[in-house]
Amino acid sequence: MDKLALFINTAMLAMFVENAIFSRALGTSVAFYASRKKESIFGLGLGITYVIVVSSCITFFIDGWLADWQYFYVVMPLIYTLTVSIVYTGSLLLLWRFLPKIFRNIKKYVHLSVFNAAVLGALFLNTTYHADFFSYMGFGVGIAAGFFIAVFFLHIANERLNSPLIPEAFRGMPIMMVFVGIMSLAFYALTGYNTGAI
Amino acid sequence: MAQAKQMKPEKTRKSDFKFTRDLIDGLAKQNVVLMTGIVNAPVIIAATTFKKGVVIALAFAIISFLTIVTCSFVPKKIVYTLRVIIYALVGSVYYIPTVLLLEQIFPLTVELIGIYMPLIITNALIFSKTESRFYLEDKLKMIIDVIFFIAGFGAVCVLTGGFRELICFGTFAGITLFDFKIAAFESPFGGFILVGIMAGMFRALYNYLRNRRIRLNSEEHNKAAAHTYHSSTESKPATPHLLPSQDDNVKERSDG
Repeated sequence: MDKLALFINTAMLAMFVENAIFSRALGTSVAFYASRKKESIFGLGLGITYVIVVSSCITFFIDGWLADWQYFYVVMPLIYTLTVSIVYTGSLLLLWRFLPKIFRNIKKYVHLSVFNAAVLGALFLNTTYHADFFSYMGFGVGIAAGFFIAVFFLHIANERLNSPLIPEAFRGMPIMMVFVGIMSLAFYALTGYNTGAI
Repeated sequence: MAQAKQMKPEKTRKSDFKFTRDLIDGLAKQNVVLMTGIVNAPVIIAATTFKKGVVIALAFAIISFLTIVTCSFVPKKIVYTLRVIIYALVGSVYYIPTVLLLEQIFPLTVELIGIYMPLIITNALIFSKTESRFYLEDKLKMIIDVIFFIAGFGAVCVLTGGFRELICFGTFAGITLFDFKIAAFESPFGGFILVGIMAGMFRALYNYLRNRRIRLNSEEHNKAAAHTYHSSTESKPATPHLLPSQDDNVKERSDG
């Protein structure tokens, strides 16, 4: 029961306090891209969740094994990229073998949900903050869910932020950034904004 | 094999490539932070001081340049879905000497940048721009193009870092200038809002300068055409009108 509580607590923390987009700006460009279409939100959200959770499980054991090595922080990106690549290739092979129709549909964009800052950032943050298997899993699920929530908010705002009411120079990416900034400020209310803590 | 052929990009840019104009795209027209917004996390979160901006810009320059140039030799027969793995791994390998080198020069700053340093290996310049632009060009043009794109990111990163340091701490490059401080701009929301406003202003300035250039060019073109017309009418008075005069326009309109 304690493990479940730990899992849920870490997931909530990752979703709202350490939100991938609003607090960490991880995968912002992918989020902007995905927010244009409803289908992309679910597709990318599922892809990112899957890759983060599976990779987090693997990196938990790698961290336990290599954490004491002096140069681990230097080779960590290489090891994590290798881990993510193995998960990515294995999943693609499985899809290609058993669900070829889905494979054909996603193969052009699937790399976006794997090689982005949200996935690698979640793995780096996991290593920095957590030591327990369930907290690793919870954080992975939370970061992915937080990313999904953020992209959904962006999708809702997308149409209005691209309307002719916005000055031409600010239409699209610049006003989206300002909107994410305001949302980020709102998310700070969950922890309490404190300039001394920045 | 058929898939590989389908994924192979065609070198379409070769013919219409303008050496001077297209190469400086990376600085302004397609600036990766302010215009396209494809690389922004390090600028928004980590570039809070001038020194951090410099370190991020340097790391970005070394890792991106070496990765893009090295990966240009990866055979295009390999489908892109799998080629990205090679790009990511090559970037991670180049990260190792880069971070060790920068740690020697800026030991504390590299530590303060934290996870945004290794995240440079997943930047969109390596994963997206390579396929849509760089690898469609000749090697030399590609190298110069990449340098300009990197310079565009570096300039914005350093300027943002310097500006945020100035307004957050009242210092520049560690030198105290005044006592006025707005600490909120150091936070992620401050970074988002600042970069958003900077992007909007930069686009407005770019559009203004572009429209002005177009207007001046068209005026010059009209003048040249008028000059040609006058000189031709002076030498050959019997030739028919090449350019319609104001009166002609009025006549056309009145004719309906």
